[in-house]
Amino acid sequence: MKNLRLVMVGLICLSLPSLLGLNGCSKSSGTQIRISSWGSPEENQILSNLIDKYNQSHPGITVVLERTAFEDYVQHLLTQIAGGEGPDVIFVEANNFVNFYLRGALEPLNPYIQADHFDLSVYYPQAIDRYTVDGQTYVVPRDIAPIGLIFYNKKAFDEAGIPYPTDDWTYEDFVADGKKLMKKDDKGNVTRWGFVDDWPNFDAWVYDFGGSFADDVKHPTKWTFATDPNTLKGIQFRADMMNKYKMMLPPSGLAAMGGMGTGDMFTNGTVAMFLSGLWKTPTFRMAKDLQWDVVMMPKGSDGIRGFSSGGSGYGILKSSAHKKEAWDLVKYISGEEGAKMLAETGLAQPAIMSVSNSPVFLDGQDPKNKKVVLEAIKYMKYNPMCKNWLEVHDSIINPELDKVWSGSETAEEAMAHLQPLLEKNPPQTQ
Amino acid sequence: MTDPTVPSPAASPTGFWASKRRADKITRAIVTILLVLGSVVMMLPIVWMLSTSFKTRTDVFSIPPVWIPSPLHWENYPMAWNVSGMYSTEDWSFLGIPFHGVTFTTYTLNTLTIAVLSCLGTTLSSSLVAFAFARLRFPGRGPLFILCLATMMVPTQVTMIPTFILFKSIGWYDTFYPLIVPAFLGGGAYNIFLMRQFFMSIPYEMDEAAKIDGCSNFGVYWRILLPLCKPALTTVAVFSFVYNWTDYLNPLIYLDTNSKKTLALGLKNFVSLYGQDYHLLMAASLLVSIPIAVLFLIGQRYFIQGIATTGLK
Amino acid sequence: MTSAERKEAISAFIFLSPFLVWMVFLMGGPILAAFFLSFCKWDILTPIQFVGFDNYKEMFFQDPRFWKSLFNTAYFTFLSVPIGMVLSIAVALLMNQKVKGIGIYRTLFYLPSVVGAGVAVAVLWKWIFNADSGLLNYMISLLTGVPIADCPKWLASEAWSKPALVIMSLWGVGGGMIIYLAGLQGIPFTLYEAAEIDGANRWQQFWTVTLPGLSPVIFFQLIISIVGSFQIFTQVDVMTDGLGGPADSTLVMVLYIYQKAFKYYQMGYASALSWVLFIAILLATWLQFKYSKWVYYEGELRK
Repeated sequence: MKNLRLVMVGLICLSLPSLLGLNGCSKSSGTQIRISSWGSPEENQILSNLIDKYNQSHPGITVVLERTAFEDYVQHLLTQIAGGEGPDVIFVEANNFVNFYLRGALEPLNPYIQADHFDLSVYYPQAIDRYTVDGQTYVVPRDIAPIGLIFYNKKAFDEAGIPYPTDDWTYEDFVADGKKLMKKDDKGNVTRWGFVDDWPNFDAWVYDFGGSFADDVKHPTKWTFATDPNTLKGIQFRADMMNKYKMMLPPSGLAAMGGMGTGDMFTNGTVAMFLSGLWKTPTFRMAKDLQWDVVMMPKGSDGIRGFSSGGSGYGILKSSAHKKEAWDLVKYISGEEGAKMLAETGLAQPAIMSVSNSPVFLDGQDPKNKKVVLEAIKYMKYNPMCKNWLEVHDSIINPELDKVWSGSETAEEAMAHLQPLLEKNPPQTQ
Repeated sequence: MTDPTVPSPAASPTGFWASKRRADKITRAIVTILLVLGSVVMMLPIVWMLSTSFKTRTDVFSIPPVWIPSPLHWENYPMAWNVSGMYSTEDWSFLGIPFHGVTFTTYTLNTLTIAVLSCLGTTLSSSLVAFAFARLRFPGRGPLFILCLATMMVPTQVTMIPTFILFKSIGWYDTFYPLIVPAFLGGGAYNIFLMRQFFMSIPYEMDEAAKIDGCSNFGVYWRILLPLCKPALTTVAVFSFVYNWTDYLNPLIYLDTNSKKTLALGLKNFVSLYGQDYHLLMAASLLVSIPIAVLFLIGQRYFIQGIATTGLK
Repeated sequence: MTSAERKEAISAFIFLSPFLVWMVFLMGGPILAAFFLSFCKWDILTPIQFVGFDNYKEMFFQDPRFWKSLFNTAYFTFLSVPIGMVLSIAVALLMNQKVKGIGIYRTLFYLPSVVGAGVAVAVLWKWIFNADSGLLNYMISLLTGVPIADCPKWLASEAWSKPALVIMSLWGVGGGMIIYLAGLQGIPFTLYEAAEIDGANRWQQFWTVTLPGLSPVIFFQLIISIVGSFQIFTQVDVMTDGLGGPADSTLVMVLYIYQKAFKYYQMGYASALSWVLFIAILLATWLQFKYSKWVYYEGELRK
């Protein structure tokens, strides 16, 4: 018992300094600007370096970076905003931007842009376009991310005795390669799969086959997912890769249901081709003995192609009490300096075109075919802008398609089941 | 105590299964086998974490899985411990701690503060409240107890924002108070209920005897029931400590400044949009769990010091 | 009320005062707010709109996912609670033995309940349940001779995803074990002595002494387990990446509430869902209290 008491007393003594508020707080003076972000350690390093510099050159202003893990980001942000403790600047992603914009939480930036003669034309028009509705811009982009890259393992192609793919390959080429890349051991267990995606990314195939989710991206009025014949083709193709051509890892074989870990399968050679975006670059560069490159997703014989899209940027919350200072900060962190640092990590394609076309980004390291992303921008497709997009996608379409992937339903049957559900839940833009 | 089939209470708490000496050997063998087998199964996740924590980023998912990586990457541990420092430039040097930036050392001190104080508060206040529910007659006791239990049944997801607004409005945002004060105010329905059940399994005659001797209600609680309920108190203490040590949601919502964050939040630094550093995550998770393991190893002795050693016979 | 009774009541309220403060201010306020929100439409970012019973009407008459989540939650509860109860009592009895290094065994059994459910080991679980190369199917195949291809597809199968979650939850028996272990210490030896004298064997002692003595704790654990498994969230969230798949087969109530609140911005609807869940749990708890005659309290307060 004495021991326990000693331990307790010790612990309490240890905890006293923190309790008495002796935290290592940097005393803030003047205006405080809070910025919320998620992101990997590398990304955060960039942002906190930029902020340090900004703080030094702007006496009287203290910028505080608050980082939350991606999966808790929205929850944390919403709680803060509801409690009147929202940050000034938020980091948004191309899809969750819509949720904030449609609910009027983002400050329109046109007045600031015009007052400062801030030049938006240095950014990719496709990126600006995502964050601009009816002529009003809400977010300054940081990066742009077409999700239409097939990463391939060179050694696997060499072993299978087939040439490396080129950017103009077709679905037939892709399936033929995928089948040849399959490898089995003596007992018939698959030791290498032809293809897998980073997460169950059926959107990519919908867009690639020229399909659609709704009638209009900016102002959707009805869902076209279940009626668009191209959508059907894309969904059936993804299912066929698993159940007919047997070249793609089916859900039951995934190390994870959401697909987490499939990137690691590519790294260790158990998958020969991998669909994702450029952000995988640093991870794959670190992999030992992995020889890899990227190529665009295949196209149809009619030449149709399209890529789903990511990307992110900085916006200002309407609730901010220091919008002018916040704008000044946004200008700085989305400028060329940050873009170059981002380019150097290999993590993302900066939204500033001149940086993405410069050797800083095209650095000659793996992937050798990196310039393909400059071309891929042309084919980017964005998800419809409505309040219930995520719910319809994740909670109506996705569970039904699970049955298509497992082979218990055809794509056509799934579409027939989906159509009445989608009609009952039309896109909400108000 | 001359009957050899009944173990001496001070030495052995075993009741069930441990009577006949002849059977002892066989019983003990079976028990040991079960314990070893069970431990192997139960420890599987932890062994896997241990193994992963010594791998490189690319070896984490090698197939077939490698259980003993070679070489062992010990450097993952210091790396995991210090990696979170890159998010801040706050200065701890005034405390004589020779480094800049927030690392797991900061998080550990914060978590320790919260966990120790909450543990103290929960143990004291939940037993006090439970005593009232178990031993004292007052109007509305039944309904109030049901109300108490009912607080466990509303999912936190929907009370979170109102609670946040409440704490914010009294100026407790970004302080430890929302994480510590509730522990002193009853410590939650779970602990109250647990203590009540234990109090109610102690014969009422104990109280009556003490009251005849002139004990007040508080006296009965403090001198009679608490000492009898050491195993239960230990349980509450362990649970409360562990809960606060590993709690993620509350610190996430109430703590904002990096230097005030806790270990559970620090762990999430490894998780990001662009994949996870599993080897570092495992190393950090294990480091964070070590204090719990040690405390438990010390504390578990007190589970077996109940009535057995206090001479209730 | 006699003066003695009044005195007792007054001291009771003094003892309860910290709890009452918590109950009224810290718990009562937010719970009432959530109740009010269940009659509203609120996306957190724009002002609250009162909509009367609309949320409840939609839930009961137009939302198949609500019924699905209710079913999944009940399924999980009815499967996991009894198995978990029996297993943790068994483990506690095992841990109550006088064996060398028992403290270490206790720690080994308890630790997974602390670290075993979090994000850190989700990857391991996904690997264990992997249909083709997972450990579980490997063991099943080894023990029963069924080829791996015919083993359950676990997390990828609509039929087996819930049992997989139940299996996963069993790694948390360490928490229950501790409570039972503490409960076992409260059973007076005199009772065992008396049973011994009456010639009861160990099995009979278990039924006549241990179980009744442990019943207050079993009752506690039963209620808490049911409340807990009605509210299962973290494991499902982590294992299914927040989707509750495949085909909504692991969509449990709290996951659905979370999705509605923080993914789909429907806090009002989420609150309404919570109240239905609340009523369900309350009903289950009330039934248990009603039929709790089997619980034997040595020190029951006579009224």
